[in-house]
Amino acid sequence: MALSVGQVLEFAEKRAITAASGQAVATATTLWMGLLTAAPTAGTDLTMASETEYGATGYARQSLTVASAWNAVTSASPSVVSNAASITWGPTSSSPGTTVTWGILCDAVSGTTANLYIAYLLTTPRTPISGDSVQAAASAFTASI
Amino acid sequence: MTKYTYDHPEQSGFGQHHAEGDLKERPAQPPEVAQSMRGVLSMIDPTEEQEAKLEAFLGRSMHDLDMHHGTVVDHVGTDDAGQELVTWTDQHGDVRTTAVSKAQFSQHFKPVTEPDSIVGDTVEKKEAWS
Repeated sequence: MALSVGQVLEFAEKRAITAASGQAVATATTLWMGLLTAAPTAGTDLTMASETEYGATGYARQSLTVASAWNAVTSASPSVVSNAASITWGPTSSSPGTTVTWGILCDAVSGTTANLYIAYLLTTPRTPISGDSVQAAASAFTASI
Repeated sequence: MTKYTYDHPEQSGFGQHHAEGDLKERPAQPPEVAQSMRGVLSMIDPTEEQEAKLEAFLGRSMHDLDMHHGTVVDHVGTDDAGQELVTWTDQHGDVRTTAVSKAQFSQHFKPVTEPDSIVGDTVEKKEAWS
């Protein structure tokens, strides 16, 4: 999984513009990174109920402790944020045969009510087979506003 | 959280147990990713340390990323599909969460017990950590 382009989604956009206008904004201490097999729709998708999540046995969303999970936001325009460490899913113990095309940052370990933060297009789609893990390198997930 | 040990009678990893073929022969990253990452690094005039770090990352196999026999995990709950969620640290130091079916969990995950400890002349068997 190589470099990816991040699309900030509506739930997180609202928080970003709230903070940019000087208003208090809720923060998270833990977020989760999942994998999707179909593209999210920016502007309309709010929760995981709208998404097609990868579904092999062994797969689970990976937790990110917000305080340590990210590289420092760059001092540039646009500012960029990226993951500080590698992220690894699996190992899987089944082969659904579906292809992972997107990463998705959300706020719950499972379920469809998780709010969506950022969607990351993977430049190299992956079709894991049973026994595989899927690993993204540090700094692979980048996003800007 | 309760600690368990992944335990396989043939000492196969969790992934290897279900794998098609030998995980040691499957690179963790496909060739196009390796090529892309080397290309990106070459643009910044990398140090030897940076190059070595990248090659170590790209040299990992699926076996390296597997949950190996004897791995200690924390059972952290169940997901919405009813699978057991365990967290563990892989050999590269990454904290992982893996979803395990109830059948796999009951068959291959054994509660961790503290080692027997001697108190005076009495050997005490500790219950599973909680």
